[in-house]
Amino acid sequence: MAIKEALQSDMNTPLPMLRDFSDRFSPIVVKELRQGLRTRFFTSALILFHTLIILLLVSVTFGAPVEAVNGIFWGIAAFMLLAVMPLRGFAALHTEATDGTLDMLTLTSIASFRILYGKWVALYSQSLLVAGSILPYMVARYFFGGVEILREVVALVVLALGSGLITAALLAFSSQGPVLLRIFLALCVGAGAVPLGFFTAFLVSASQADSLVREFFALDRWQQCSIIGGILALVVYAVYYFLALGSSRIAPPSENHSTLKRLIALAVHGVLMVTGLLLCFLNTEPRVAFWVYIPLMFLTLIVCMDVLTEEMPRYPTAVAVLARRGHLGRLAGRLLYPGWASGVMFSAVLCGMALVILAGITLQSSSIHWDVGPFPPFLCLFLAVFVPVILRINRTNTFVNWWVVQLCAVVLGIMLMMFCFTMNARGLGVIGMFTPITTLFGVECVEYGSRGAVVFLGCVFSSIWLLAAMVRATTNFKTYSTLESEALEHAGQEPPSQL
Amino acid sequence: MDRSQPAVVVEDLHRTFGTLKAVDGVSFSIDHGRVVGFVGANGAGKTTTMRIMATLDSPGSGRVCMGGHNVVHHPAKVRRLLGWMPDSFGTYEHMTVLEYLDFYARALGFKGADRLRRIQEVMDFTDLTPLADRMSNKMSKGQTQRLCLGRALLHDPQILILDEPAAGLDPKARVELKNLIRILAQEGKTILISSHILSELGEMCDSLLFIDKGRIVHHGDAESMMRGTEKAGETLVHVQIAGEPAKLIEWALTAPLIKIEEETKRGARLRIQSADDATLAGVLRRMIQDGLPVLDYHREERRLEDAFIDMLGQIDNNTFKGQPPEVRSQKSAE
Repeated sequence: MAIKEALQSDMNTPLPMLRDFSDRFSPIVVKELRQGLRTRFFTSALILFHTLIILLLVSVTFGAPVEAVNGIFWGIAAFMLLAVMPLRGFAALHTEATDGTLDMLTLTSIASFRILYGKWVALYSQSLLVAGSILPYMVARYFFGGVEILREVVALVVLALGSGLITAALLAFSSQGPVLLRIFLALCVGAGAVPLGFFTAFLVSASQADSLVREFFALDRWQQCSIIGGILALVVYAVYYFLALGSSRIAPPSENHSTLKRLIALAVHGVLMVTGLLLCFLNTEPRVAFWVYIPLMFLTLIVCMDVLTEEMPRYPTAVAVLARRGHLGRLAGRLLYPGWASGVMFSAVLCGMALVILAGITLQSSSIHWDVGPFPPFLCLFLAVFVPVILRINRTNTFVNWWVVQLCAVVLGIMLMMFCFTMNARGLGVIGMFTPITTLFGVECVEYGSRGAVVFLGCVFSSIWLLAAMVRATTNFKTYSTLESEALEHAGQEPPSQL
Repeated sequence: MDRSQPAVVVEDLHRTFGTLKAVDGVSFSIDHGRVVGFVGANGAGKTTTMRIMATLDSPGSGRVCMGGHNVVHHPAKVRRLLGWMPDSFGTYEHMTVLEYLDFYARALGFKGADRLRRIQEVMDFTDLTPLADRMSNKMSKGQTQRLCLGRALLHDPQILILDEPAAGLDPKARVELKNLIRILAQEGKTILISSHILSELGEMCDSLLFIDKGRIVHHGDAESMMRGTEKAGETLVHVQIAGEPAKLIEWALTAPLIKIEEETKRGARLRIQSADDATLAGVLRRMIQDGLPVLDYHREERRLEDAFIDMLGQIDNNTFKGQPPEVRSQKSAE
């Protein structure tokens, strides 16, 4: 080896062996843990957290009410696990990009998903360390009384799962450059964490939580396992999707990180759709299917936002695998290739799958109607994801554009509502029909009796956005055709005929 | 790798960012074991070209092959052949030098004792062993640069792309870096270096590529650049003698093929109507035979920086006739 010879006279000082992590660990996990455990932020937060908890427990011996102490204890734990620890991922990828270290990681051929996964594992394991360190205090509080062990354990598990999910989301969004966008997205994620906080508070302090726990234990074993398994599977999938979202943003443009992600999404959404339909049609109370529909709706919106903001591919390598599989492969590529154009078709399929459950609930339930039930507003919500494909406020960054367009639509909707109510011109709410989001606000302005008609018209108008997005996507399919030809030419195959 | 083929081939490379043409039809090739300097003003397209070569950016059009592999179709194969040192240092907080190299060695697939041995080799080569426990972001620029070079060498790449490796280094660190690059060149590695410190490029490189506004405007060695003011078939020489310079002037007036360009304090600048080395040596021999006490006799060379600035001026005036690089196409293993 070249360097060896230059060193023959100089190889003298043996290096200390690094034995802190074995070879089995991912390099990124090793790096992140070495760095993360030494950061001042982590050590300060951990010391402060424990100091506060100890002071809190000591205050009980001075006569502080146990209920209040329990509430504050869980408040601090939730803040630490749902906010402080995940926030360390806020700029993780952006910092790597600006420091130039992301390029060097790319050159080591570590897959971008492994980079995200390694960072998440390192951050989340530190969160679990904090969660684990709460256990002795829970035992100590047990001796003060007022502690329901089972409920508290469930609360801790909820916080731990939530922490993993929020960490993954913040890590994914940290790939974005504009700091204002990242703050906005962090606030959105924070808003998602609020229900988790409330649920934790409900579990540890409300007496109704007892009946919830009793109801759960009254279920058959398979039902209990299905619920727990389902929740865990959904959390795992959501974490995976967020990490895949982030990894596709930092991956070199020659790589395809979209097709696998979309295939997994199709499979998961398909399973959820079937589960939802089974609950609709085999259950005496079809509304139970909302327990499947609600997470499916959130997942659909996240996936649509992701695939509709992907850059169009520039390298033939990004389409090569499917392009080589003949007409069928290339047809599937219109759904699965990276880029927003195939993303429009893919999103339409996913939104359709989610709406099928809603249609099933509406069909089966006697108390839910098509016109004033949940179907029209949710249809508008799904159609809203396509609007930024047509409206381009920010032409350089499709991800920023997607969020800016949605934000503008919400602001316009709020302004419309304010105008209608302050001018006492509620009929003007129909103006909102021209975009899906403003339709949702406009409907709230009009008289209750005419809401059905307005929301129906709003859906019709909003569908135009979907059609326009599909037309725009179809015209951009020629990018895929060009890349397919290049990929096949490179593979020594005949260029494809036009699809 | 087939060493009869060029190590690097860039053909008609284009890259635009919005309306800006960052790279506009760049073509060149580099043979194995050559050290080539990449020279250009800020924004000329050096870094973009290098990033495309390193698979970190995509070409708008054109073809780039590294070690026979197309960067578009086989980026992973290209990365295995390539060591990349960016202009930003890219170190991590809260990591020692040893941990930093350990991380990259793990990422490159080294395991167990092999990893430690390879790190040891690289640290000794870059003289970082005494700094093994130092935090990687708390070192001097020279030390950090050596660390980055060490990282780029971990997988023993055959092609090295160094983007401004000497930027911001003090003279001692520059000399150290230059020595390391010299050893690597002796080992037969193909090296492309961009730098603003042209005198050093001239010493290190076999040839220089000049890029301006996204186009390669000239390709040549440092010596020919430094002799750029001479008319074809003529050479300027500086001569110093002991004693009165009048003796030299008197001699030059009678000598064939020689014109006095300028009288200096201890001699003269002479224009010899030949660029042939043997003729130049013959002139010196005759001076000594004729009894002139010659103290110094050397061909006049401009500083490379001056030559570069002259060239940019000529490009602006459309009077520059550059030598385009020869592009050897490659049997690609694409």
